[in-house]
Amino acid sequence: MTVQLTKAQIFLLMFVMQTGFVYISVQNLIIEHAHRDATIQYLIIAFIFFLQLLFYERMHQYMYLNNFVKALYLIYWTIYITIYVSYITYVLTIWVFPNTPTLVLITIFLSVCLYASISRPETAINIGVVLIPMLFLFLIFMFLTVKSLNVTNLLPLFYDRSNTWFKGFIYCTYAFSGAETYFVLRKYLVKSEKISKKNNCYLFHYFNELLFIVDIFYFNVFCIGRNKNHSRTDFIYITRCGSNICKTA
Amino acid sequence: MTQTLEIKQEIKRLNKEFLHSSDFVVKEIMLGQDENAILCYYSSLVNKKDVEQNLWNLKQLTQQSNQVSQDTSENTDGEKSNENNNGDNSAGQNQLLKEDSITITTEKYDQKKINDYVCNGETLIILLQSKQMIRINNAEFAHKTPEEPENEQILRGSHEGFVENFEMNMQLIRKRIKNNKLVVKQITLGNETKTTVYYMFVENVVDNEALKTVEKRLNAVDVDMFYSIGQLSDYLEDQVWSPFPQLLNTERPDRVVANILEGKIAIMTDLSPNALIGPVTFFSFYQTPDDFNARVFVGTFYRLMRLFSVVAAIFLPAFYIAIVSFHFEILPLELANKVKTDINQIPYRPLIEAMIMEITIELIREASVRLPKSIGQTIGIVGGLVIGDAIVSAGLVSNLMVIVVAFTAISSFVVPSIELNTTIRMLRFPFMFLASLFGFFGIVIGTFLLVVHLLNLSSFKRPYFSPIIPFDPVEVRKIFFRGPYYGAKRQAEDFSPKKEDKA
Repeated sequence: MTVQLTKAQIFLLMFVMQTGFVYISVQNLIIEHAHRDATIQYLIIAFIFFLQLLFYERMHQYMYLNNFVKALYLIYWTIYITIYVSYITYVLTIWVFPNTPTLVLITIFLSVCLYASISRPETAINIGVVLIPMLFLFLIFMFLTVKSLNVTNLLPLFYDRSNTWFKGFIYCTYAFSGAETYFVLRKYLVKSEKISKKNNCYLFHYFNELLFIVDIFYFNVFCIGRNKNHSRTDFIYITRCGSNICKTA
Repeated sequence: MTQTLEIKQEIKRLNKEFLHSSDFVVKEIMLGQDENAILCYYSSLVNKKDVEQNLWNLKQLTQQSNQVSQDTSENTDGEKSNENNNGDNSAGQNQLLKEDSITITTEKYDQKKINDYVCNGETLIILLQSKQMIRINNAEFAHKTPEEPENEQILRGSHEGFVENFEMNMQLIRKRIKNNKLVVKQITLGNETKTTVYYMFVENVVDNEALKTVEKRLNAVDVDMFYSIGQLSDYLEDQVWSPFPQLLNTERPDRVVANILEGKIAIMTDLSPNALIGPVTFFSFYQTPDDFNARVFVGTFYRLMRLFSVVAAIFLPAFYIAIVSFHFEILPLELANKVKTDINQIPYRPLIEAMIMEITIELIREASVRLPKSIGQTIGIVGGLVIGDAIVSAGLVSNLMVIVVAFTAISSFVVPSIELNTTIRMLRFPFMFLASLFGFFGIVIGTFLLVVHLLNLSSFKRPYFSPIIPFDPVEVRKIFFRGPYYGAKRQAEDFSPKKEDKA
């Protein structure tokens, strides 16, 4: 079977790989290590990744995955998926189903993934479209906590740079896990289509980044200045806080 | 004498072939002075007045031709006159046989074809002497008048509906598309029932790949008994086991016309007023002629309401169960207290409570469909008011559950298509089970399965969830908003559209 993808399909695949897990899982790590400068550090790393995407685009025809690199990549993705599944299971076990056996949760979760994987190739490729409305739901749930935001948490910027910047940069790169799939998927692009800088900028980069910036900015405002336990927050904690705030309001 | 004997034998044979059926009429008649013939037809299928009229016309014709032959013979001598007398009958017959009209056709006598012709409602006159038969097509099959279909009523626009008669249905379509590019083709299905199936499309606009698929599937149908549109639907659909209909079923000619002008194919039989339209998408089932006949804003508003109703009809009971079973914290404090107090008085789980109400609603609906209209309304009152009130007073179901189930039922009936309406009502049960087991997580899992299933579906090999997948932003807008007609640039504007205008 010859696989050919359109620009939009490549974008969707990358969108699925880069988002979801990332949106709800790494903000707390970034904020914990980058403190008030998390947003600034994230913007710098995002710019570097944008340059990297441009480099991929310019050089993709010269790049070739040999067997060794392929094997490495497979190992990397196996670990990545394992972490992803275990994180989801962890969140479900902690926040939703403390009494349900982990095996049951993993089985349910993975059997749905299996169903999608053994469906038609078009289904697996295009399913990302369905996730777009989820983003709005995500934002709605996130903004339920508006009342507990404290904008002064963001200031002063560049206050403590002694040991936050380096670690902050490292953790900011977590948000771009999956970006390298661009390099793998690029060769499947329909011959007649080209990806311009503008496409790269709008589609592959800023769409993800802007959402994530909103996300991280929000978490930043929410977390800093709270106690240690609250700073290790995640999405479900925030939504729970949001609903409690709504209740008490 | 020989001719009469031969005719009697043939009548006997025909009676035997038609198994002495009481509505089968076969008898000897006189055409002209010397010519005996056999008349046969099914009295249940033909208009007897038309038969009489046609016979009278034929007799008149024979007499006229005999008269002409007699006049010419008077001007000749005795020897020649004998020869002419022998030729009189044959000249009259030839004149008769050449006299084709709209309803009368003559052809060579063929015993094998008699069965088909008579079963199709034709009247046959068999001329054994000349080995010819005259077919008079005056079949009169019972059908209703073209009234508005009860299950697809609209406020504005045409109020005509299809009937169980092909000619009448085509008249309703052709009066809307007065163009020779509208093509109708027919195929006979059912080895025993010989049912005629018609499919129609507009040349140049039709989706040729889909047309090939339809033709291939129709030709592949090998069945002895064919008697319902449901059978046809089963043979034509891509995935029969899916709960989602993949062909749009309508009785409205305006809907058929709008669809075939978009490049789709309509398939009909003369057994049923329903037309099957394909390829269609999931969102085709949410459009009604009212959207396009109402003002732009009004059409858009109601289209959005209908889409909202799908979400409510599938997810609302499941959402309620998930909240009261797992996620109480998302309710405002006042409401949470009230709901908790109500639920504490119910002796069983929310799922059982929901099932009692949903099954009651389904029973009321089924009863009101089967009963005559007048009693159906009574059932609605008894079901809705009496049972609804009593069931809460008895402490079997909470007040909030009655509200949820009533809202769900109303939402499910908003769907314009009966097929999808039924599907959506069925789908809420698995979601209720998942919500009672896993709360919101169960609903998410169920939604994911549903979406993957929808993405896997196709209608005549065209994606069912289009334009969401494959994603077409311009077309997606049309799902939610009904734009003005002059703005619909991608709609086919004539029958020879430019390449980019083709559907």
